[in-house]
Amino acid sequence: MNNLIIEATKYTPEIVFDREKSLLEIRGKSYPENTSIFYAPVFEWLEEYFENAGDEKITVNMELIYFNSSSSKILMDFCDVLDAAASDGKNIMVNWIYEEDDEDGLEFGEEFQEDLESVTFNLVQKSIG
Amino acid sequence: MQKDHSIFSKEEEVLNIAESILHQKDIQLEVLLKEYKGLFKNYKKLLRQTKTVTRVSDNQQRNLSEILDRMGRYVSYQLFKKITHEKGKVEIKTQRKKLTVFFSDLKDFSYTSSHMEGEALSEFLNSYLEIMTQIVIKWGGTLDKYMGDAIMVFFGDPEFTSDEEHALGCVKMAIEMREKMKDLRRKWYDLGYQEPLHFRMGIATGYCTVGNFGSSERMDYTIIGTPVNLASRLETAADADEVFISHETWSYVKDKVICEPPEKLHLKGFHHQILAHKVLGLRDEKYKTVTIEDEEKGVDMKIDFSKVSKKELITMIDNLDIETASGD
Repeated sequence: MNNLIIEATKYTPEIVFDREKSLLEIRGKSYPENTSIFYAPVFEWLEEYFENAGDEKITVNMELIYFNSSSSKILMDFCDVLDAAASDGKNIMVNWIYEEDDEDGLEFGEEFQEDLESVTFNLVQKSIG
Repeated sequence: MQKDHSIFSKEEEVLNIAESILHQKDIQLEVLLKEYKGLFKNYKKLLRQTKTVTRVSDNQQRNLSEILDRMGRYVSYQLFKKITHEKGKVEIKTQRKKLTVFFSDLKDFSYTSSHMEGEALSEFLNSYLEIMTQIVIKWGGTLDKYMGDAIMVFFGDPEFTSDEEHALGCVKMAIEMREKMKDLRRKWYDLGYQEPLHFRMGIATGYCTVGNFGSSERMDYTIIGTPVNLASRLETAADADEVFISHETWSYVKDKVICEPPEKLHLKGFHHQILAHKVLGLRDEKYKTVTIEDEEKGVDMKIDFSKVSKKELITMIDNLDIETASGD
């Protein structure tokens, strides 16, 4: 199984899912022209990944500066997939990373956090500079 | 998941199953209950997601509104509208347009400000710019920039009406600013500023290049061209609280504005002599009211020539029982 690497564009985030390191990272802005098409490989990769994953610790870093409504729906679906995998016994830790002065980033993280039951969800403040 | 390229494909699939069950005859209670549980679970999830998306979306819209509100304070109303309503790419693009350009600055302000504390200076300058900006907005000028105490405004872009209206609007704005300056001088004097501040204004009309100047990363929406330099030079040449307008501006406003006979000026950067007209006041067509102001000479008069002739006025002045300084 290959790693999933999607480079950032002006409208889409950088996605780096490293199978060996068990590290899944999404960083940047997310307002793709077609959200579903853009994120389709992410869900396909996840499905295959969780089928083969063992009990290793999986870290998911989500650092999103701006995302549109379609992306927030997809991101919740993404978190639901993680939550479902965690309830199946996978050891998953999600870090929702926001900048020090970004109150909205924190609020969004709290919104996502509320919806999850099995996954460990951390709100991580990133220092500026 | 997400294979048929809709963010709601999963929800649509659940609904399709539920609908197909409705059309089935003799369905077993066990199957019905199983599908009902699936529908219930997905509805619950969808409701939860809808609540979150709505909250996130509301937050983002509120933030956008606040950002737009803040941005509106940094650019003119006209430019703000252009930025927020115009679709397509923002690019380095310019065009030639006939504009009326205005410059003003406070006379000897560098000297005056050197005697002021920083806090007093910023309070003083901000109150001045606030009042003048309100007048710019009132007359529909595009506020290009502040340069310390100087103000640069232009008429004719982004909103175009007619060259006459732009020139007249600009001159009327300048006259109102001059009126307001009198109030401000009284106010500043009462507040303890002993130096009476005066300002100068220059207006010129002509073809300018207008649009975005700069780099793809950072650009300014501004104007360049001879009328910009001319307005600036006319402003520098003007006496305290006077407005100098270019000959072209004068040609558009001469029926509505009273000016002194033109002066021939040698201005820096211009090889030929420039005709400049000093604005006295508005010619009120309806009431034929003329305003004569000369603060230094202590003259501040409004004369309604629909009620009094020039001859009668001179007789009235001759009959005044006062001794004049010149002894006439």
